[in-house]
Amino acid sequence: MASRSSLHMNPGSGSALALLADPPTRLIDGAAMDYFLIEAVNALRASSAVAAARAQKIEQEMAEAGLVPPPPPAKPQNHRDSVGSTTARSTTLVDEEDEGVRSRLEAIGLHVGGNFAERLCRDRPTFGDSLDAIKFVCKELWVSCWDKQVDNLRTNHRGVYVLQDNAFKPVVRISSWEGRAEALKRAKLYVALPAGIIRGALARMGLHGTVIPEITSLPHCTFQIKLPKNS
Amino acid sequence: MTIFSLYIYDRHCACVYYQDWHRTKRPKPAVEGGILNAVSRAVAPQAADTSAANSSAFSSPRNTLSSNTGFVVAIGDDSSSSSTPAQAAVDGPRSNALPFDEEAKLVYGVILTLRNMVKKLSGRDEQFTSYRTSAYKLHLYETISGYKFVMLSDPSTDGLRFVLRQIYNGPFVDYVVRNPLVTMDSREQGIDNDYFRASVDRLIRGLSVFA
Repeated sequence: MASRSSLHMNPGSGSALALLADPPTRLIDGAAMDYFLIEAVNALRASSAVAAARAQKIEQEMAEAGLVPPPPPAKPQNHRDSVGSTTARSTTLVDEEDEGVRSRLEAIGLHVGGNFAERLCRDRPTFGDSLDAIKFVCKELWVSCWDKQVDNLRTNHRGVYVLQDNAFKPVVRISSWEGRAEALKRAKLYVALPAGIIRGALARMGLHGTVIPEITSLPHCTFQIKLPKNS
Repeated sequence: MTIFSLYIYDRHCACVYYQDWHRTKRPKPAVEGGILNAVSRAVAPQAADTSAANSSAFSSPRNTLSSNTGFVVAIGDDSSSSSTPAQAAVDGPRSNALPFDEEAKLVYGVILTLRNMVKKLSGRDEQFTSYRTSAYKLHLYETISGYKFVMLSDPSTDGLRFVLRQIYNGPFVDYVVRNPLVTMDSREQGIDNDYFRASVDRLIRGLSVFA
């Protein structure tokens, strides 16, 4: 029976087996990814503005109905230096909006990173310790997502790792009409998704920590990973 | 053999970028509201206090050409173009050059008219590519998306459409299309930014036709 069934196998099955054993890497166009991220940030900004407005409206209705104490007044106006207070208020408003977008981007990154790590870790033996996992992130994850390896990895061997990339792909093209400072400020939003990807990948491998991205000068970017001590 | 300046227009017929290398007369700043606000630091409309004047990292009054051979900006015939007293204070003796927004519109009008005329004369497949005068040669490269790259060079240059195509495929796609901070196709913002300007500059200066 076995021989007859082997006669019935179609000639392409040998290559099908080879494909199953060693699937070719699937690639995505880098430019398409860039365009998608640009649109994602804009769409999330609009959606988080709508969500914030809705939450504020509900708060206001509840306050008027007397169910909750009225919200605290926005920063007390100091009439002596009105310029300072209005600018402070406008930056906190912008930061709150950005915070909404940022948290949504990071949440998306968490899911993406987790699933991506599943595929990357397919035939890999389990990691010895968290340093191996971080090295996997630096080499495999970075190469798959952003086409290069991390340039510098530092650790204090107590759960804090600093990954440094001298030309981080999502921010390498960010440049603004208003100059370097403005470009730097806006670039902080675009590293939220990669930070989420790293955090999601580590979480899926069992290391639940935090990832904090930092940009001091474009396109140089660092990620500070804090992992709990017991791993 | 040298290159004078570059203009980029989008499909809304507005000038979205300007850069120059050699010019006999400095471009006059545009009036307020005349041009979009991210076109070029050198020609941005001046604020009420003209402390910034025309100085910027990008405009270099390098003028290696003698005045009778360089490209001379369109001369307005009357002095109604000097609008605000602040600008007159900057310019000193009254110049009758057009402010930049009018100059940009003039260039655009010229290429639009010539383009339509060529299409009417020879059919839809022919494209207007360049014209030459005794002082300069103007090259046009138009993309399917409606962006028009206009370059002015000295009359003896051969064909710069290839260079304009290189600008489109290189710096434009890299630092304008793929730049998250630049809104393409917006009606109120140009496309000027640091990296784009620097890479166009590098590309042009690396050409053999650039003096």
